[in-house]
Amino acid sequence: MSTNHYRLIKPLRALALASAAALAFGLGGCGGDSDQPSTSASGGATTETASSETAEASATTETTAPAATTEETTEVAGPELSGQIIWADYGGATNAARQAAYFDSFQAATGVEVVSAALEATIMYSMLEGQAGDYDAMHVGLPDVYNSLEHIIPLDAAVPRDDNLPAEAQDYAFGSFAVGQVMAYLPDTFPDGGPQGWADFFDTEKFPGKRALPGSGAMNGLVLEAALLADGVAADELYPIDYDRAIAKLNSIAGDVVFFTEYPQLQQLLLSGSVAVAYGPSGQFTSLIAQGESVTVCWDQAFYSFNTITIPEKAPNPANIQALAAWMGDPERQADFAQRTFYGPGSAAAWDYIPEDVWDNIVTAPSHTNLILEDSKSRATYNEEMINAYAEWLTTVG
Amino acid sequence: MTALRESLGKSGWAVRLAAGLAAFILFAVPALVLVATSWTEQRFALFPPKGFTLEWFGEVLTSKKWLQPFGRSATVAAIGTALAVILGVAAAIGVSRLRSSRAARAWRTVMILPLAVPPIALGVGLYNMGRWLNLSDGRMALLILGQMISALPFVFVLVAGAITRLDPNLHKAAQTLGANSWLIIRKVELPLLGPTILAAAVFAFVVIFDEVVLAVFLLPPGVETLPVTMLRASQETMTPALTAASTVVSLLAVLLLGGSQMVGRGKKGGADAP
Amino acid sequence: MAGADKGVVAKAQAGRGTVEKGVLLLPVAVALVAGVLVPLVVIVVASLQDGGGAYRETFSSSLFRAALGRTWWMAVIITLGDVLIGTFYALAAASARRGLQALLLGALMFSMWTSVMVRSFGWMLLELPKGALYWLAHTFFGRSEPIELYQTVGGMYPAMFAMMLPFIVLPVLAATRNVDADQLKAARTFGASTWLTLRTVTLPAIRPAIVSAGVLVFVMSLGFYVTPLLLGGPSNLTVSGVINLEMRSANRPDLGASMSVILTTATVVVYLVSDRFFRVSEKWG
Repeated sequence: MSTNHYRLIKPLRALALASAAALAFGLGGCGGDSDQPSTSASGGATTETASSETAEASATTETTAPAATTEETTEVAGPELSGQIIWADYGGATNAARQAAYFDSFQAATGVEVVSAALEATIMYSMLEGQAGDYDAMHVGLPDVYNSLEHIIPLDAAVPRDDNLPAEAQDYAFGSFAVGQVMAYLPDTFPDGGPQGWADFFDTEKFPGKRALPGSGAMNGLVLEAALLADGVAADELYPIDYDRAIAKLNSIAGDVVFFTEYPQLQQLLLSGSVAVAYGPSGQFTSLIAQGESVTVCWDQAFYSFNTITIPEKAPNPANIQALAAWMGDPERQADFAQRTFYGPGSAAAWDYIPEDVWDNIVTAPSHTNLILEDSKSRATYNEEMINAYAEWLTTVG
Repeated sequence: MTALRESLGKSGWAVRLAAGLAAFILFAVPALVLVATSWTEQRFALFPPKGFTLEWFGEVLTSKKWLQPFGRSATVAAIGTALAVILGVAAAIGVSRLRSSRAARAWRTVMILPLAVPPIALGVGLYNMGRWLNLSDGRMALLILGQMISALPFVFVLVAGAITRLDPNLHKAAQTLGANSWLIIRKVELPLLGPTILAAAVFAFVVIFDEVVLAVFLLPPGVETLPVTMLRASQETMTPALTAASTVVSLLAVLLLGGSQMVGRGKKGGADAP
Repeated sequence: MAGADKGVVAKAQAGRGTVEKGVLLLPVAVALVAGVLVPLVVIVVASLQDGGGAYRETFSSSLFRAALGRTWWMAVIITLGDVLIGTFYALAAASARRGLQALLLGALMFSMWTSVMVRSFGWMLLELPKGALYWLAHTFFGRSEPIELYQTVGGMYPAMFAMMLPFIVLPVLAATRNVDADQLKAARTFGASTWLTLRTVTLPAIRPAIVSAGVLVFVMSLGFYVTPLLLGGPSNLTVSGVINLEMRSANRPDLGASMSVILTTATVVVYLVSDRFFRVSEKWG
């Protein structure tokens, strides 16, 4: 009977030995990592990521404005800058685009290393309430900016403002980019013309097929608003939300909804044909288009809102991050970022550098004439309430 | 084992068929779907895959972006596992020596706590503790402590369970023969607990290797473990690099364990031959 | 004289026992205080910041209350299901010939070493209305109707069973070592039925492993969050899901903290009750 046990025991014992070996080997390596003041080791990794993904992006987007040409145009604050910046965001292609459009050239010009870190929302919120933490720059939605103005460091006078932002936010946010909340479908699904506007999204008789909607209260996006618009509420009368009315509209298609819990799932839902029409952030769909998939995005009645970068009160490297903010205010660099991500630029002047043939993929393109700007101030007021209402609705369906 | 096989008699094949089906449906099919998406020529993981390319494996196996976090995760998991095994086994044996059943129960309850506290709460707690202690440079140690603690219940609970099956007379007999406590632990208890300890060690390693919540809270900026790299890579697109990376990890683990199984069997045969 | 000696020896032994216990238990006590008790105090303090208001709000939240019951039943179903599947899986692996055993353990290991996030994603690809299952049915049986499995209870439980199964199988497999081969042979010789042998010889030997692995799986299952939402649909919001919502999105760390404290307390109470219960059952075994 013992031979049999050895089949299990032996491999496990070997694993223990391997662990012990790794332990001996690892102690050195690990200590080395944590002792490093900045992140020279992983900085290399970040750079490499960026360059490989940049190649990817430029291969698919055809037109890529060279970031290097703008280096001389923006002067950098004094030569006394050194050290690093801790940049907290959600990673992915957007971070790679930042690296290519902004960070690499900034690093070369100033010697300040931009270290990207995974943003933990609870740490972000604690820093927005004035507590200390690692982050110099944090990816924050405009509603949260409005809720935390007193704990955000205003931009220096030298930092060019993102003039597409609402006036009262311009001193507190940079690196902003406009994200659409749109619906999209495969052109094959509706050969005679697809849904136009939110009423069509909720009309499963005219446009049959499953709908994709966010499956978490946190991701409620502008679903409640879309339901109200579809039900005939005027765009300037959405708040305070009439929950009964919005939920009733949502319930009218409840049997036809497939939910996503992370944004990338939208791509699987749509391309596999599991849903006919998908609701979600525009970047998910435009990146499919950039990769050669044929996807139709409905820009008519599309919502857009601004994601921004803010400097928390206790940012460890305030001088460095102000310099980077100035660097990122340059319209030409913003145009480069917009072409890599298809997010709308924060600076109006950036449109001068974006070729017209990519306009249609960018939500805030001048050619999109029927857009609705998210009322971020109202969202700031009703955020928790809306999260809970949508979460409650979700528990009654699916 | 043959005796067990014979004891199942005619029902044995049914049990084995059912297990085979379970393995197929619960483990093999989902794994095959994932592996298939890792050779697609598309830029996102989707089934069925389109075309065939090893590009994603190439990316994962050659870029520092993936290799460095992999090495770091393996190191952290190895340290955490070693600590969890030492502390967990010691605690299980120590608790078995307690005379007061109330004390033993209190210990068993406290040992389950790390699993009962939601990871995000543990993350918030450890993060704030680190700030108060001003542990800016010791954060890696704090992360290892947190992940080790999360793995501790696996070792303790399983080993404590196995101890209850040990024959109490063994302990007494050894004592009568003059063996001191450490000798008893080393020569009597640990060998008998071996298979369970090693199963627990595998769990501890897997749990720490895949831990992401505490890692996001506690890792120094710019330092990533593999799950954090995977998390950040997955935020906007489910890239096939993710499924390629997890395929590599799983293959490596199975080959490592399977390979050592072969070696173990060979050695065993040799030792038994005389 | 001899009696006095005995006393000294006994005292020395008792002293050594205390030292032994101290050496065995002190390090882990320190680690537990630093690694879980202090963080827990931090959370309790955070939850009490407005004098208990967070607890009142938590208890009046229908989202939380519903999630608590849902999470409990989910964990019960996963634990019972996996104890059953896992025990037989382990017995099959222990009794199988080399080839089948390698397959059973290989499939389990491969799955277990895949990141939980990626595994959930794999189940999604499998279960999508036009996912891998549909593709199989379409390719081999010409099915053209989408498969209605994704985001149903039937789509959720297999994935969760699969995720927790290794935590039953490996400990039970390790425990099959305790099964006494002589007793098994004796039972066979005396003509005991398969069922009787299983119940009286095999099961008592592996029962502690089943129970302790079951406890682990139960407590772990109380923490499920992403998988039920993704594969079972958003109506399967668990307590961990609500806690994440409060802490990461609604910016209500106080609510998240009080919910965490309540979930932890509830888990500990359940554990205490079952510990009492199972300790008794061990004496029967």
